[in-house]
Amino acid sequence: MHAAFTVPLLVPRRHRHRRIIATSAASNATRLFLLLNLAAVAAAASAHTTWSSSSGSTQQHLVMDPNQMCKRARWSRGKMADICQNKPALLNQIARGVALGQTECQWQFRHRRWNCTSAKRSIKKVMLRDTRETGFVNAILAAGITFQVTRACTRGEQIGCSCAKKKKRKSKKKDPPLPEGDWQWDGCGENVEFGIKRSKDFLDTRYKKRSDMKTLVKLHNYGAGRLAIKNNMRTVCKCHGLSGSCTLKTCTRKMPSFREIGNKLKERFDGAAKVIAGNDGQSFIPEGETIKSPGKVDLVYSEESPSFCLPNPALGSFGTQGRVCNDTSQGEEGCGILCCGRGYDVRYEMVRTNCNCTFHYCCEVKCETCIVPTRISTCL
Amino acid sequence: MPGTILENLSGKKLSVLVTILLTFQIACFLVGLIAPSPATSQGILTTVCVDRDPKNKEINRWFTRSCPTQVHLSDRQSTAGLDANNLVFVAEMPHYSFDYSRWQQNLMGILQIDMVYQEDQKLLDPVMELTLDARLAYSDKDINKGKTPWQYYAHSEVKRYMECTFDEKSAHNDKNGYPYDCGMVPLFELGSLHHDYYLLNLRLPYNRTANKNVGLSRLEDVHIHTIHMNGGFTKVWVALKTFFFPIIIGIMVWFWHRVHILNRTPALLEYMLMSLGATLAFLNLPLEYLTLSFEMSYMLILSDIRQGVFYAMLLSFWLVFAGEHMLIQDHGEKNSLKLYWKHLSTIVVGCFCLLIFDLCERGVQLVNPFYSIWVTPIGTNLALSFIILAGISASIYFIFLCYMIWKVFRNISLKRAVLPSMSQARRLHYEGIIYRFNFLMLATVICAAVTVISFILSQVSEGQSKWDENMELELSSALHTGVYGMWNVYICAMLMLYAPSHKQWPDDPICNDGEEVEFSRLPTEGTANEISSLTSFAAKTSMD
Repeated sequence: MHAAFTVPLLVPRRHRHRRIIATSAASNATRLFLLLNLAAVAAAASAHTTWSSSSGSTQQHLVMDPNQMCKRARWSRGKMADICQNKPALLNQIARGVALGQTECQWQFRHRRWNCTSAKRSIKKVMLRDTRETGFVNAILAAGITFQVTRACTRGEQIGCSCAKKKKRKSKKKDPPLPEGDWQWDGCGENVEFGIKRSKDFLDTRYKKRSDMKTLVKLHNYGAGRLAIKNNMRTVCKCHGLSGSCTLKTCTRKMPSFREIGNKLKERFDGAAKVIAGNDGQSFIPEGETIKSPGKVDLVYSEESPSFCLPNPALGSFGTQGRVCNDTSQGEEGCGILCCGRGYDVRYEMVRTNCNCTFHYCCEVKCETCIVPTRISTCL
Repeated sequence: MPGTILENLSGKKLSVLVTILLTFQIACFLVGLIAPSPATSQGILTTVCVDRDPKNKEINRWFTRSCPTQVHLSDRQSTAGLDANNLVFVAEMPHYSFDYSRWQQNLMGILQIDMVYQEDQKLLDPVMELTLDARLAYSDKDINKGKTPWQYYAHSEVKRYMECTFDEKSAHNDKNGYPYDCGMVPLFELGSLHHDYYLLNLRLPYNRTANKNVGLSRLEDVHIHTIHMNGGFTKVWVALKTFFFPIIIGIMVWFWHRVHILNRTPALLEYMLMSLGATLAFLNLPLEYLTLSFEMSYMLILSDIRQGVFYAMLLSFWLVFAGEHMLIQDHGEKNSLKLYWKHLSTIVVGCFCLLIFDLCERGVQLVNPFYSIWVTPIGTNLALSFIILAGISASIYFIFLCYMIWKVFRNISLKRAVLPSMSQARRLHYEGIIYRFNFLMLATVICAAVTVISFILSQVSEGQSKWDENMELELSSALHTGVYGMWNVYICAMLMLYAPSHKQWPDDPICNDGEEVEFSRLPTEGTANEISSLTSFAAKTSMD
């Protein structure tokens, strides 16, 4: 049962590998918290399976449920409504993208006081504000959608992937399907452009006409999330000139793994800049005079984050009581930070873990089970 | 005393000719601007199908993207209980509703495997051996816009080496599931893109005893990147060839006619010019039109040979050209290639090495498109030794060439010192010849420099600016067509300027000058092997 604490609310396979045998008595408060967290585990786990299985039945846990967004946008027009009404396959990929972003958010924040849980609408409450966490969630969701749509295109799925070309300037039409002649003439462009476009269509167009601070920050962070993919594409080149020499060289790009994108965004999160509204009302400027103004890839926020130390339903905070921490670390997973200075409880338990694993390609892992005495610290 | 057109052409006519040639040159470059980049790549994420009957060796059993059982490798549940031999990685080429056009010429496939760190496994070796069971099928459009059934094209079990690195710093303590960074692996190369659709079925058989794929970690994704030529580029390229082919043939006919109306056997340099023109005509011959209706998988190797022959001829021509302008004619006989056997053998050896290498790589690919010479240690050593040998002969050649050119220039500068003692008319004339010779040497150096620079530029532009959204122009095609047009223009100019002139030397009144008498006593005068008066000048002055 305590697995819920050792595992930060996601990655079900880790969850499987580690099981605590002996448990210490939990206080009433902890028990309550445990229930909450279990709900979160269920949500996270189902979000995870959503991504890998094709059904969209568990999407109610998504922070930004595309289907619900579509319901709200039923009467509106524009690109988002177009996706909602006419492109169910694309919508499905977008939903998966949101789930992917959310899962990655939980992994990146697994050691933080607020661990990106969607239990009790926590993530939605965080999203209503404009804190550093909000910025990160927005960025990673935009990145998730871009990633998933691009991936689907790369698999050749028929979700209307068009060969986005540099020709946009010439033809004013909204991405016309590429005529056969163009394909013959200069091939097909990169899929990531299509992913970026669809992510923009779905997320950004709703806010196009607004220019309040929150919207500006939100759009900026969406863009930063997408750029985290685009700027970190892997390039591989192949020479195919005379006798295979490099007189002719063609390069091709591939998306990085989503974990790497998450890492990049986490770095941006750690260095996010606080901004205030600019004088023209159309932009924002960094709060401190000396801080250089944030670039396109930087995350921004306009509100200080709550401490998330104590439970506060209005903020979506569950507090950190009962969370497992690392008492030797100085970082965010360390007990000093995670427990907000309240101190922590140390106990020793026999934990059953997998060890001496051997892996056989493709799909077989053979492990022995070891029982290891483990020191577990939990926040008071 | 017959000279070449270069010497007898007036400055005005020469400048007109140079302007016309430069216009052609610029046109070639501009034509390249309308063309798209030479080649495009398309990334394909393979669909993973489950082969329930891996023992079945029936070759015409194809898995397509719509196969009944598909799994996601990242989903541990769906792969549970599956064996490595069950998994088939399927890539249908091209994507979406497109079909390949024959204008797209050829197709290359690159394999890229995404692997993740598996918990408690030790890190993978940086270089691992892959065993791939790859099958290719093709299909065409049928009359009702459907596809014909997949037909067997090629099958092979091949080995490849793959380099994988693991970024331990970024992975921190949570290595499980963190991706490896694996390099690309060339998979196949089709010399002709004759069919509309291609299908790749790839298996990674696992066999511990046969040491197959034992070094792999957990797979997440298998990508196939395909590279094909752009139809637009091929069209522009072929148009350029079609344009230059009749021109060069015409100039060659004119040149040969010019040589023949003189009552002498053609000089060595004239033979060289003709052969150079012939190799250029062979290179320009727009054979690509044939690929539109025939399956010519040997097109890649043929175009290699065509280019190789042309470059070999060009290098030989430079050598002979320099030699003919320096050689002191102390024997009256006709110059022949035998004099240059030392120098030319470097070219022959170099080209022969490259030809053998090419036949080993692309020749075998005619039979097996998955073949690569680089995967076995013997093959790698063989390929490397051929390339190194070719490189050595190339450098020896350049040492020879530079030495000869240096000698020519030294000769010229030595003789320049004698010039003031000549009569004015003659002096002006010879100064003109030296100037034009220098001019042509300069043209050669410029052409070579432009080629090298454009090569470097295309490397750079391919590396970075291709992904720059703001770049509107596709420079790499323009560089290719520009360089191609430049060598065409260069050789046309050579053929035209070095054609024998029908003009006679002006019967100048300077002949009563003592110096000029010496000129007329030149042993080379009037002999058939004399091609330009510069040569005679050089020969004469060296006698002084």
